Amino acid sequence: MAEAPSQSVIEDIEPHQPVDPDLFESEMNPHLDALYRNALRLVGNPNDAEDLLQETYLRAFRFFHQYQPGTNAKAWLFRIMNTVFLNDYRKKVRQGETVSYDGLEDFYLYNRVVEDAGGIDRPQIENPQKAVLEQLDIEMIQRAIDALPNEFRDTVALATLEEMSYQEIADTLEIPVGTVRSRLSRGRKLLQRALWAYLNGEETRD
Amino acid sequence: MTDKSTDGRMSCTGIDFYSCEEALNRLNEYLDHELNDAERMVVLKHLEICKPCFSRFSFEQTLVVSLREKIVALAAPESVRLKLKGLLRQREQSE
Repeated sequence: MAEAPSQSVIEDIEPHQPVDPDLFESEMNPHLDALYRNALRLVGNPNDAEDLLQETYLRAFRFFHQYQPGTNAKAWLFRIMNTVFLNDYRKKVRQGETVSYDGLEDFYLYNRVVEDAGGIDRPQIENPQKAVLEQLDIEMIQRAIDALPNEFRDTVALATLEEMSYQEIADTLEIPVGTVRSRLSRGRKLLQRALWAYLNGEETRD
Repeated sequence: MTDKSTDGRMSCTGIDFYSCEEALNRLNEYLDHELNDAERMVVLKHLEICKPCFSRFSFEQTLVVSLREKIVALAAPESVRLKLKGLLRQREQSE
């Protein structure tokens, strides 16, 4: 039973019914960019991210008969990716940076911006806010997300960047919705603190 | 002393709308469209009457939107899309 080299990643899985690639693509490809970004967050570099994306995609194709049309394709794909990642990349699991939870306040970034602008007793704070947001670039955002501890990183990224509902996130990460809420609450404050640090050219790593 | 030293727990309470703290407790769900219509209305009412919270919530919302807008540029490379497309067809032929 000769398998083509490209099939090696899925050869351990049972045979399946033939799937129409066009159908598969129409269901799954709308989520490809989000899936790629998720891979980048998991493995941290474009080469490994492409490999992880490919393995996930082929495995999804192989298992497509198990996918229930009309259910959440995005959550389904992300769950497969998490499984592949844990199986194949376990040694590469990234720990995030060691962060301190001290001084985590609500509206962290807003307050810093206001303080900064308030230095010269200026009540009008619309422009400084806008200016700060415009300074944020992709690299800064990625670094700030990467700097989050693992358990916060996924939840914060999926809700904030990928616009997943709490239920989708719960399904994807296989955690209760209440856990999604609490991780978001703390994780977003950590994210804002990291963004502020990068905006000021600081490193959060001590 | 103006509003600026507060952290979202100012005391502008009311009957039909949340206090600042109650609104703050719903910040993430507000941002993520997880509130039901009734709850969302009450948060919006609070934001109408509480300028400090209005500013803070607006900032949070703009932050989320601008992070999202920027990260979208990070897409799966075209070369990867083409490769995946090829791999699916290759499988099909080999069976």
